[in-house]
Amino acid sequence: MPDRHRFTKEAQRVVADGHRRAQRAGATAVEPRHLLAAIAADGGTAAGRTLATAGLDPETIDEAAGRDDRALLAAVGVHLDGDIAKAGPGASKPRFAPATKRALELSYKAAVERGDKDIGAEHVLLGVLGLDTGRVREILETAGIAPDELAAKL
Amino acid sequence: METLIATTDPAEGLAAVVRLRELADRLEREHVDRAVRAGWSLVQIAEVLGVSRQAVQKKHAKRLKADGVQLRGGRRA
Repeated sequence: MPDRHRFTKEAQRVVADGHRRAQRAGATAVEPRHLLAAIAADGGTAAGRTLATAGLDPETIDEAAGRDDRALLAAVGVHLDGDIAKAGPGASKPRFAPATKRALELSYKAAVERGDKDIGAEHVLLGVLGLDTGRVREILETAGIAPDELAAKL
Repeated sequence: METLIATTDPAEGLAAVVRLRELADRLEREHVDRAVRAGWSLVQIAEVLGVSRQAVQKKHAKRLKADGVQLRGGRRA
């Protein structure tokens, strides 16, 4: 019987933390950026250390995501005085955005491709970096990081 | 504002729509809360929003109740 690829406890913690971050922010959905911040917050993982070395801590990611939000709105001619969050109360139960689910699918693929037994935080990060939707590329570029260079370090 | 539509890239435009929906949702919660606290009924709120009373109730009653706000269902002021 072949081994099933399971999420490690590390990876499960990252997903749970990502969900908490989205909830705390009142976001409508758990987005890839919340997973990215969760990975960055866990200095005990190789993935977290890779992000830290690149200067990507959770605060930097959140700040870059905020700038991306404003850039998106400006791109359609909407200029806010502050953050979207200031407009009013957020959602209480964020669902998982399709891009986030896709990142988790990609993390499984990454583990299989690498011949690794289980899906760890590193694979989740590879999954997030492998997205072309979900604003990950744009947020990282706003923070001055090239996504492909980051993926190469893993 | 010279032009409303600055981007022609649909990936960017659609991502902006998602953000605008979040903005609209937050504004809706904020101003439904304010209306209720000012004594508006659900029917009055629904009328201004252009939706049914049931829609307002379904979307907001749970949150308002959790915040301890008293809701008025009917039309009478």
